[in-house]
Amino acid sequence: MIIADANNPFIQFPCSAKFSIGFLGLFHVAVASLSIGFAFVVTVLQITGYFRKDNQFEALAKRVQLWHVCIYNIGTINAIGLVFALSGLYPQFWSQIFTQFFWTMIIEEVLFFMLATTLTFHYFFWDTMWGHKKLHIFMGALLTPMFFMQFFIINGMSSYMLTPAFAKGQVSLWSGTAGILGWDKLAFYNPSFLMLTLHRTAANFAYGGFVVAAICGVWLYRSKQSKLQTSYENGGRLAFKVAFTAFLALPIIGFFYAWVLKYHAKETYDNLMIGRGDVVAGGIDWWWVKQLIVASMLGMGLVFSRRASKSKNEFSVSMPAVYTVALLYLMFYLGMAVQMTWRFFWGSLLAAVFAGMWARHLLNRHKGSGRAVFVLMGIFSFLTVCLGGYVREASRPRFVSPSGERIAGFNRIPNYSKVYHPKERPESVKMRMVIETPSYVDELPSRRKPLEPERQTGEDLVSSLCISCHTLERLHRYKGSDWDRVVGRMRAYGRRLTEKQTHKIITYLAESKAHKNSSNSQADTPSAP
Amino acid sequence: MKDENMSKQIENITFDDSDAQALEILEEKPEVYPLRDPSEDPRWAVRIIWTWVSIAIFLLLFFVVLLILGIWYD
Repeated sequence: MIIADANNPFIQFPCSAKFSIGFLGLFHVAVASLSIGFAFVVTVLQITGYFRKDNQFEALAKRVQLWHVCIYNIGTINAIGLVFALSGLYPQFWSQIFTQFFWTMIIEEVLFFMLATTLTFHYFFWDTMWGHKKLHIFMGALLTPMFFMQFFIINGMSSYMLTPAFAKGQVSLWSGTAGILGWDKLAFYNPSFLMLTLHRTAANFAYGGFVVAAICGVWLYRSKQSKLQTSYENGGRLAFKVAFTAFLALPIIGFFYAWVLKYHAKETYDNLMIGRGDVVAGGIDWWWVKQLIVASMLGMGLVFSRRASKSKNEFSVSMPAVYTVALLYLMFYLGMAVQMTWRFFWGSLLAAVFAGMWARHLLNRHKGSGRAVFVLMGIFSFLTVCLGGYVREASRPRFVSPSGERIAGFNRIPNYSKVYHPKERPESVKMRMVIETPSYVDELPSRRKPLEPERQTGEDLVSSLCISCHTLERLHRYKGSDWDRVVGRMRAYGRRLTEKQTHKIITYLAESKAHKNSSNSQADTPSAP
Repeated sequence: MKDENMSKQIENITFDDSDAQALEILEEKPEVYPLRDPSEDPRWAVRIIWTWVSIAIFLLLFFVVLLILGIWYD
């Protein structure tokens, strides 16, 4: 693991750039998705408590919001790390995306601030706003549309990278006279934007709800007081209902998402369906694993819902809806079996059946309490979010040259190429296509050697040493001529200079200032008639 | 006073003794939603919340308008 080396001018990111982005990205997915789900579940709990005038839902909502505050802060810090890593390791990519979607990034940033403020106010003003409960609940409810809008924006950019479709990459009407910013509505509202937004929204609500239910399940195990157990059971069931309802929407959305990918991101579709690229890692098709876990969740959820509706539990999900979606799942799996392999169908069916049987056993064992099912569904949900995030990135088209040959480190042609290139963009961050392996691949470019001290002029010294602390503008603005005192002061501030260097700098500054003053006085002097 | 005690109890919930404290809160009057008169809330807090909610709604609507304009004007 090379961090930096005197002969190697490049900084190597620990454990490779790909791993670092992958880790930070997956961490972000696991945490940020939870935030969105928590916000929605808290609002549902508060509204339920308000209409029933029941404190147990209010108490649970407050505890969930506390975790949300912690999770949101962790997620924000992680997101900053992700941005640092992306922009530092992939400056070309970052420069393109940031220019193409500049204004949306700015709105995103403001939304981050709004979310953090609203969340903080909502939790820390909880007790001071007892008399204004409706206002308090409304403020918490604002988090959901804020999160949705934040999602809306990031999904526009994220889906563009996968399905750029008809985007042209043109200068923005909003960029003023500088012409520095791009905007293309076809880039933002691209083919997979809607499906990605719907899928992620429903998935996050499901994830948040299942995790809240899981935590209630853990408390049910720990608690021995019957009143508390009732409270946790009711809260868990309500969270489970929210989560499972959102979960049921996912296969329908997923079907249309796959349909869009098939026509606008064929390589991604093939990678997922057939198992190519990094989707298969370590000999395991991780998309399949995710689908098997989803099938297990469906089986468990179906059994639990059936038991809840039979016992006339008020928080049970409507069974016709559950059966309809189960039927849809069956049809999807049949369709995938016909296209791919029947092993997939039988594997999913077995996973669902065994998970359902396991759920029935757990419900009987705990005398109808959903604690074990809640915990398992929370774990499964976490796994599907992580695996789903991984396979989505792993299924992206690889960086390859038009000839199809892949040379690691070169030919960084992204899936999208029509982005706006402002004139001001430096050459170093423009995408370059490298057809053949460059000749310098076996040798690293040498670092520019500094001039020997004896050969450095005063100008060299000023431009290399003075700028370590400040710009040269203040030198030009300085009206005095006591450069020996100025340089002495700089040495006192910490600038290390030899006597020779000091003398050269003072001489240069005095001469250049004198030259500048004489030029100005000649300009001011009226010319002789 | 009761509301203050209840508030303190809710605030002091920790993971280790959460059971005991949560039980106290629920056992006080589990069927009664702990609402109080709006005039008992500190005015400064209510003002801050109203101000922030207004700002948030305005900004949300503003962003929605921007996104709609972005569809119309390419």
